[in-house]
Amino acid sequence: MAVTPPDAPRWSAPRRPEDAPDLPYVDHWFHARAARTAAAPAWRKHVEPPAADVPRALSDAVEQVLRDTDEAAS
Amino acid sequence: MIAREQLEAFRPLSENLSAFLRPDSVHPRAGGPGDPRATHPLAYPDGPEPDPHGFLSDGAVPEDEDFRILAVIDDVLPLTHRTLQAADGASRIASVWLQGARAAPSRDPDAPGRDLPFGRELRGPAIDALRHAHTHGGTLDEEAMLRAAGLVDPGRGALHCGGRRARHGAAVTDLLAGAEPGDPLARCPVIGVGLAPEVVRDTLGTFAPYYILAATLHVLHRARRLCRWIEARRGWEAGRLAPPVVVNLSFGLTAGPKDGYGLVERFQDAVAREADRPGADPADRLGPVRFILPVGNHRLARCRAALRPRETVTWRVAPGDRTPSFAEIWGPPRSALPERPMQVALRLPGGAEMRTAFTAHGQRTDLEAPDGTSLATAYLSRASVGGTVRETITLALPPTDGSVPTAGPGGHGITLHADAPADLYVQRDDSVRAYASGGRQSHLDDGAYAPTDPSGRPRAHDPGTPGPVRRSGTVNAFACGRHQVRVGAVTEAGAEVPYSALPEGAPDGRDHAAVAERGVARRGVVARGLYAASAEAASGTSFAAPQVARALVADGGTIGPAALVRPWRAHREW
Repeated sequence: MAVTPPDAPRWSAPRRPEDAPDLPYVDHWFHARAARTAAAPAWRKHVEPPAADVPRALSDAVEQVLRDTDEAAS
Repeated sequence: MIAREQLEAFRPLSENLSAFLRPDSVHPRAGGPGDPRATHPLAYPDGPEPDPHGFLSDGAVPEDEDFRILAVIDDVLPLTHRTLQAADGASRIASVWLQGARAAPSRDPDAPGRDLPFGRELRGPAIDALRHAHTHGGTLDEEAMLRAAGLVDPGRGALHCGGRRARHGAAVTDLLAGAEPGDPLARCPVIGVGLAPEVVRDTLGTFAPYYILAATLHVLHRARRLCRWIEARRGWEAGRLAPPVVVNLSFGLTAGPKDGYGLVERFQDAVAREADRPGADPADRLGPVRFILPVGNHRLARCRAALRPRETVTWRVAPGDRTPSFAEIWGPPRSALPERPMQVALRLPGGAEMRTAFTAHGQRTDLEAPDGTSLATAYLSRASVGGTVRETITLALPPTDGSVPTAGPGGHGITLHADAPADLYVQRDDSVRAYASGGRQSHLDDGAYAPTDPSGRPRAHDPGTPGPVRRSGTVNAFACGRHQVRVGAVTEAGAEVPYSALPEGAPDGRDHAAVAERGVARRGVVARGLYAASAEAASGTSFAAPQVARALVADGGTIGPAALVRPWRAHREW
């Protein structure tokens, strides 16, 4: 059995993302945007990341329409 | 046709999408929440279209009921092309929504596009007026016209500067709708949406589905309004016109559920299935709506593997990649989630193998170096699929351009730990041309995959007993709906083009094929660029799809599955 060196990287304890929805790309996108925002001049900050719950709201809206459509068709 | 009240549920979508665009693209709200002129296509007023803002100039208004509506959703639309004009020079573009353009500075509350949340809408008469205003001594100053239209805007950065004359959407529109006067297709109006450059550049597809959905809503809404406007213009009773609508969407992703349950596929399926339902309100009448998509160009890109439990493949990440790299692992559909969640083990280049320890869906975990630096992130999600559920693990690696600490480029071993096989997809990381993001495409390797045969030619199909890395299952993730039309590429001689992607288990993987390469050594087909006098050799399934859409329109919606569709313009006509 392989022995893991003591200085090897390790997976952190699993956790729920608290500052972003559980959409992987969105999470990374927000992190990348946030990093850029920190380094951006003040005049640009107002264009930087939108509210974290927006993608979830969008996804929910689309799902609702599709559910309604499925019900109307059945 | 999908009902008006169902479209109304998209209001949160259109209201929130503007948050991702540049502020000068966003329309100032006419009022607060509840204002009927707020940011949704369905806030568009009922009743006759205000005549000063009609859809088409006189010469381009269809004279009879025998026409189709051609729609294109892409990055740009070529506004100046002669082949998109009627015989008298009037534009056949009835409406184009430039999503990323600066918001139009009109004070007219009824101006076209005031019901849109962002960007700018141009109608046929406005395009004609711009063309006349920028024609001097009989010569059109195209650059000035496109700047005035908001399509080219160098002051907003390289993404908005038009730049290259060869543009994806220009070639797609030309192949779909370009026609000389006298061609029956020249009677067909065009409705278009130019997606925001920020969305086109994002090859991860994070937000593209939402903008594509908003674009599709716009096409449906404007197509209905166009019909009612033509009826009023011709003195016909309301609801008389119900022309078929063909929508071309030449965009794609390499990773996704690929089971028909993605947002884009489900919505397009719902619209196609519900089209022209008997008993529709005359104000809502519209003919069948068909969505045409390319199968994709990634058959040989080694972006897909079929993994058995405890099987390992190598994920090779290129050096100098300026964007994160993503891979998705999709478990099979199940009636219930397994008792123990799916796990993966990741072996960094030259390092030990470390296995995730997810305990519940919706969790994330970071592969941390001893100093706390995150070298990779994994997400465990669940997706509902038609009464069943699928597990998904997404692996994300940081850029390898030196901007952040990483484990370095090279081979990352991925081992599946689950009680059932799973599909592994690497997400595309290269941008559409002219939108360079600095991404470099990663790929998979299993040691058994042979890209070429002994003579050096690319192997187009998997062997009888393939390894984990496959050519099948590489189809465009947006093109997995049951009612969409999938289009592959062939050469002028009808030979298979090896890059044309394949669905899982399908022999050729497409509903139709069109010529996208003149030959093995002569790439592409001739199509117009952004500027009217420019042309390019456009290569890829993106340019096969609009040709099939065009053939469907010309042949009344029926072409044989074995028919070979050829470009409307001979390749000699540069």
